[in-house]
Order: sequence, then structure tokens, then C-alpha cells
Amino acid sequence: MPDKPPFEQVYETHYSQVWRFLLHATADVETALELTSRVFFRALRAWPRYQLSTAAPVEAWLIRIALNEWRRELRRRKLSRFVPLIHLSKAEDESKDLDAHELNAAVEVLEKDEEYRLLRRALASLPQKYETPILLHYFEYMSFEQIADVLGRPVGTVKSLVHRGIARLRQNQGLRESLGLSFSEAEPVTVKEVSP
Amino acid sequence: MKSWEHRLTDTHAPEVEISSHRARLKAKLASGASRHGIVRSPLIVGMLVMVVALAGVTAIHPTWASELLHIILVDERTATAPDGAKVIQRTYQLPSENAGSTTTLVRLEGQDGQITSERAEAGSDALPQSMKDEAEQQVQSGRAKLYLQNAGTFTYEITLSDGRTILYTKGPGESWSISENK
Repeated sequence: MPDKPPFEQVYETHYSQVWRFLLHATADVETALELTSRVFFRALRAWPRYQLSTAAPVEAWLIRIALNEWRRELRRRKLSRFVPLIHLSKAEDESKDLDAHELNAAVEVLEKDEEYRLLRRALASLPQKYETPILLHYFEYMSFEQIADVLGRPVGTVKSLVHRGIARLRQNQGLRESLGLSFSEAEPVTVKEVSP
Repeated sequence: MKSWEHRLTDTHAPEVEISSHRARLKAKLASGASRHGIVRSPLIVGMLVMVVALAGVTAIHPTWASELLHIILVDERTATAPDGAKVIQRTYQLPSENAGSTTTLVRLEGQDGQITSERAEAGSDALPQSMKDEAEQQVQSGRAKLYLQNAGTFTYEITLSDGRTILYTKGPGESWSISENK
């Protein structure tokens, strides 16, 4: 049984993956920066309680925190539409004092990649239960077993979610084509959820 | 046209890294700096909004909490007005201006929910017996106007000699009460 590594080592090893996941999940550099910081602060606090033997692998554990942080952010945004004062809790400006060239370059890279943008837009039209495993599988190159660790669900369920998500993309595309739209159109078209 | 599986497999998500963020976050984590953002949540903000609202209400009306605690519905009954209309008579117990005592508020509501009458009644012991005597006298002489009748309870509207208008209610047996029109 290996010793529990110091948190610094965990940070060095997994920073890129957490950042990349949040960048692709949010498709927004500033939000991803803010959420990445939150994830590692949360992980730092929880690290003393993390058990190597019983908990999910560190990578899955961190991505799960990141996913929860992103869901929390989505809920906050939804709530802020109804309670304007919720903006009190607006994310700190994490991009402040960062290298402006790096920031601009990052935004540019995301915007330039047309195929990625179209795919990202298509994925955003999916319910999150389909979007997340597809993101993890195709953009983060995680295996179904690893995704099962992140989501805390059986491998078979993860596979099914990925396949059903792709089927939904096909269905959405059919709907768009029938409307004469493509995924580059500004307005997303979503198919109403029928089954839970 | 490529299938969605192929599109997803063939598209490589762009690799972007912001090393200045990575270094700064590492320094922050190492310094043990607290991060307020991670404990922020809509729930906490909602609670803050509520605390501010309650503080505001308290500043404007300091006794609101005690008044709220003392406003108790003590009785609710349906009665028939002299014109035949059904009314709901609700009796509330309110804190009185005099500390330690209460006022009874008798409110009559029509079937449509409209308040047709609202009268405050101080504790009956605070009302002079003379009011009751004068009211009883008017009832006996037939000068009192029947205001409300419900089972064995009769409420009369009485104009006293000093000009005040009261509601004099005679219940079953010897029970009675007076509502003063404030």
C-alpha cells in the first residue's frame, strides 16, 4: 500500500487535468480558472480525510469535486436570475493579475477551433447526465471504468449514458436539419426530456 | 457525413494551459490562504438576505416579533347578519398598548372574504360596568339595533350617551362582552 502523497504532489500531478476538464465543461476560460481554484482549495481542506485505500483514485476524486463545483456554479447562475442579490457571491476575478497574453491566447485557441466549438455547442444542448460522461470519455480520454469512479455509477450505466447521449446528438441533429439549422446557429435546439 | 462517434473521436480538445494561474494558485495553496469563495453558496447568500431583511423590519418596527407571537386566532364561527348574509366572525388576541394586557380583535368577514367590520375590544375588566348597564338598558327598551345573531348569541350595536358606538354581545346564560369601536 503506497503512502499518501503530500497535497503539493497531488496538485502538480493533477492540476492540468482538473483545469482541462473545467475548461471543456464550462467552455469559458475565466469560469474555468475560478472553478479550478475552488476545486483545489476544497480538495486541500478535504485531503486529510482522503483515504487511499477506500476512496476513489485521486484523479477521479478531484474530477468529482470539479464536477460538483461546476454544478454548484450552474445552480448559482440559475438562482441569480431570480434573486439578483445572489451576485454578491459572484466569483472572484481569478483572471486578475494573470498574464494577459496567456489569457488572450487561451481564449483565441478555443475560438479558433471551429470543429471543437461546434461539438461543444452540440454537447451543451444535452442534459448534463449525458454531457458529462461524453466530455470525460472523448475530451479527457478517460476510460468507462474511470468515469464510473468519478460519477459513482456502474460501468454499464456509464456506457449506456454515453451511447444514449450520442443518440440524442443524432436526434438533435435531425431536428436541426429539419429546421434548416446547424450547430453553428446561435439558438440551441433541445429535445424535450421524455424519460428520467 | 461523419457519425457523431467519429466526430467526437477525431476532434482533439484544444490543449490550453495558463501557467501563471497554475503558479499563483500553487503559492496560494502553500500559504494556507483561506478561500472565501468555496464556502459561498446560494444558501448562505439567501440567509444573508433574510438577516438583512429582518434587521430592516426590526429597525422600522421593533416590536414586530412579539406582536407576531401574540396575534393568535382564538375563535372562528359562522354567523348570520340581520340582513341574512352569512359572515365569518374571527376573534384574534393582540398585544395591547398597555404592557401585559391584550386586546381582542373581532373581525367580520363576508363570504367573499371582504372585511365588513373590525372592532377592537380591550379586556372586559377594563371596560366600565356602566357601559354594559347602559347597553342592557337599550336592549330591554328595544332601542338597540340587532347587529348579528348566531345560535344563542345576539350582538347589538349601541350608541352610548357619550357618543361612542359599541357592540354589545349577549351569549348564552349570563355571558356578555362589549366591543368598543376604536
